[in-house]
Amino acid sequence: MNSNKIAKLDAKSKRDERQSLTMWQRSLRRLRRDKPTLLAMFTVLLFALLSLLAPLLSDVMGINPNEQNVRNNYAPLFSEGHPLGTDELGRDHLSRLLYGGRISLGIAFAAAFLTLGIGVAIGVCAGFYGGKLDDFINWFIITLNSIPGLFLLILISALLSPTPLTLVLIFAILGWTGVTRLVRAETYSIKEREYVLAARAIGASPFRIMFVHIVPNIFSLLIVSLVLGMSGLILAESALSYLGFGIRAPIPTWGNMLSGAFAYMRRAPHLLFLPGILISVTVFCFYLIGDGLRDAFDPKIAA
Amino acid sequence: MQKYILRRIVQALPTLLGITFIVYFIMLLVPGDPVSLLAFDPTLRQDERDRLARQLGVNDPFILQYLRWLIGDDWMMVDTNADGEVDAWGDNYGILRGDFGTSFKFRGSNPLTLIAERLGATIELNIAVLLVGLTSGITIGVLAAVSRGGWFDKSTRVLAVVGDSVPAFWLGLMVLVFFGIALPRDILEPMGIGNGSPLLPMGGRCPPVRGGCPPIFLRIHFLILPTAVSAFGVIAVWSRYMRASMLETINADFMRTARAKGLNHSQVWFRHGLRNAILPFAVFLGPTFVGLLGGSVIIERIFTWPGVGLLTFDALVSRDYPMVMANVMIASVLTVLGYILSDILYAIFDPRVRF
Repeated sequence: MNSNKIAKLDAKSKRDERQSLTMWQRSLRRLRRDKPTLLAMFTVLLFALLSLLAPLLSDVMGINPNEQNVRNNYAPLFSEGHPLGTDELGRDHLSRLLYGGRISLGIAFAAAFLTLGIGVAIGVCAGFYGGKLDDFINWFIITLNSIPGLFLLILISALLSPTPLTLVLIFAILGWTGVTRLVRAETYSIKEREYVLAARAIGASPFRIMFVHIVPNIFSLLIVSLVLGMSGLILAESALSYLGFGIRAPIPTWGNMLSGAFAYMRRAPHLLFLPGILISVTVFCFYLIGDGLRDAFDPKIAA
Repeated sequence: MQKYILRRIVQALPTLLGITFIVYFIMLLVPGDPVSLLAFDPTLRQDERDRLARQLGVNDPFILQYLRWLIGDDWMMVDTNADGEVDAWGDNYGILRGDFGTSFKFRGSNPLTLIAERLGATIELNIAVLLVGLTSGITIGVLAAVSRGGWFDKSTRVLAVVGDSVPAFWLGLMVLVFFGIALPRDILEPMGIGNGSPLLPMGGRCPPVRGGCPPIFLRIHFLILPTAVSAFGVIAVWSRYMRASMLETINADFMRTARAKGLNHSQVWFRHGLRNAILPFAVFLGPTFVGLLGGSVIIERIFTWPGVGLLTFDALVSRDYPMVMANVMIASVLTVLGYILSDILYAIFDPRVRF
């Protein structure tokens, strides 16, 4: 009878434990059951890892992204020494794709974080202080958004002939408005809650209220917007580099590898297919991850 | 209503002013000094160079230069020989009066007239895209909502995500490869159909003939590929929004009333549901239009469509700055107008909006 009681208590405490899961634990639990999102995460990690290890892999396989050999150009897939063939100058296509991934993914990753940082800082300030500052920021956002984004992006890149680093800066300077709008709206509603009032009452500084009390509460939204932002950035970078205004040859990116590919369509279709497929798959995966995370974080969906 | 429209236009003025400021600021990033850029003459002597610099006012404070660019300097005199006295009238009318300088590439042309010549092509393409994209997007979205959970709903979801993930320029290239090369040469010709020439025009707005393009119904086949590629993204976005909006409307009270009073299925869905679900879309119309305008650089480049996008691209490649500035300004003005128009449309269609 005693052991029965203990077992009951045990069951009760276990139930309590389940109820007291933190938001992150609950989200993680949901995420673990979401097969498509996990698969997408695995794919993106794989691409990232392959790109990071590009120099090592190229060395091991004896291929080089910049070594030209005009006599062996347009080699087809699975040819000797070049698993994915060669391009119009006889450069190894596989190693160019790997190195291209470094640039494309690296730019998207860095720019997404920088965009988020700028967007959060400005958005929280605008939402928290309101008034004239908010009006000014709002006007600036509306103005910036009234210039067609791609026009502005192409214009600045064409003028500056960017390196990967400057391209990241350009993306961040032009891209923060979306995050700012999101953060500003959330801040407006959160700053009226009781716990912010409580923090104010015990004399917390505005800075502390903003970054210790408000920002952590929109963390899940920010992660989702970060991931979705990356997919947009990969598309933008590839379009820019394809047009010839982004990162320029000989540095390979998935976008600029497509620049001349149409002209060689008859001789080497893989030059046109592979980079495009990589871009599409990566962007597709980021969308899936973003959607999956949104569902995982959503408190309205049962765990 | 008129008051609302007027207020909306007045609200747009600070935005337009801000745009001119940003565009002018970006122009300052142009490498090289403006005198040699504008003069285009390496044999220029130093004193001529100085004279030109003073006439252009390149050493003036930024704000003064900006104002000159904005409103011109034909009403004031400039000191061109640096003797402390003004001696010549300015000859710049300012962009507010349509003076963007002269194009570098097309010597002596006013960028605005060049843009005006090309604007028709861009608008023609984008109207086609909007027509195709909106009608199919809305139809697909509604059908997906009606058959929620069914195979049609699921496949449109996949279509939407794929439409978002595939870069438009790559899709354009793929379409060109398929209709221009793969289908006619590798599939149809071996079957004895056709002679391997492209099924649809690979680019351009009409056959290269003298005296401009024929009326649109004679060259509709030129529109098919660019419209299809460009509309794909629009369909992807709108079908999903439409589905969500439709599903939200289903639960509204008036829908229950409609069902309760015995209307049949299609009347409930289309007369009551669709008409309400479609309302928020007046708001999306502006951003969609803006997206298309921005994307026109890519679409027009791939299909060599002779519109404003291609003009901008060519101007950037040849570093024709007055042309670029004019293009960006016009595109921005169109954008602002697009936003205003979509707000007004919303106010007209939704009587619940208060002015």
